[in-house]
Amino acid sequence: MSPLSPSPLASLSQRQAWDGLVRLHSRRVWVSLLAQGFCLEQAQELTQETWARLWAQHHRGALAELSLPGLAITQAGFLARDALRRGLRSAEEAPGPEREAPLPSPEDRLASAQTLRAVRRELGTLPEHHRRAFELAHEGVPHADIGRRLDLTPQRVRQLVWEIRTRLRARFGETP
Amino acid sequence: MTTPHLSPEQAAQWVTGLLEGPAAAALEAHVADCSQCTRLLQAEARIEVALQQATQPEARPRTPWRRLAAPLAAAAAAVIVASWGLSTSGERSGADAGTTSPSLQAFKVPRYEGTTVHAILTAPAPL
Repeated sequence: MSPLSPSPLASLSQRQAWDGLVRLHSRRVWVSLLAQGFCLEQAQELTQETWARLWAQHHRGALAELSLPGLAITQAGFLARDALRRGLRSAEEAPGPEREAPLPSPEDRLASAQTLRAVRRELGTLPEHHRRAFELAHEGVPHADIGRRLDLTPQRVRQLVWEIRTRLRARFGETP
Repeated sequence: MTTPHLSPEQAAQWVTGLLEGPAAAALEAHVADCSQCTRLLQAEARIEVALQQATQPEARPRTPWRRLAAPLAAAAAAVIVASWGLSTSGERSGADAGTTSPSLQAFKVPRYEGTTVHAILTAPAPL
């Protein structure tokens, strides 16, 4: 049987597995698009388009490797640049006469290399288990899986991730 | 607008995936109609993306030696592959002499830079 025409059963199970991946990783793709200045609705549409394109490539056997969420974020980035070229940028981002030049915000400072180094130093001061939980969460690993790897409950993982993020976020806000 | 504006904490919970179900849906419905909360969510999203960068290993600066290392390694690999081809060409039959070896095919596999996480390990088990 050709790989392009799988049996209905194989197609169904593949589709279900795919839908699970979409549920697991969509928010990361969504957030990456919001960070680029798209509004929620546009980010949702671009995320759906991203998965549709990846599914088509996967179904054709064109993907030698399916590393997620990185591949989806990369694909979404391509679609985002294309959307910007076609003028679909968020209305809030459009330059207007009443729009003032933005002042550097905490998140702008965070993006600087200096702040990134400070974050890494801060992460280095955390207990190994806590730092690893935070890193795995930001790689897109589900909290339940992190808990199994580190012998923690999913609730404890959620609590740790939130506490560390809050601590780092507060520190960024104080960065001169 | 009937629902209250987002707090920074709610926005942070949403971008980190800690807000789920009806609470997440209510937030999204509000943000869809509120430019102020859209900007708040975008700001938290930029923070989250920056945190993701911070958790990745720091890229090492490309020194002159590192700039030379990649082409030198590629040249060395080419010499090894070529010499391997010469040493084994006499052992191959005429039928497969023109085919590409599996090891060379591996070099043609496309790679996606910046990807970190394995889909296969997190995929639901097939039926």
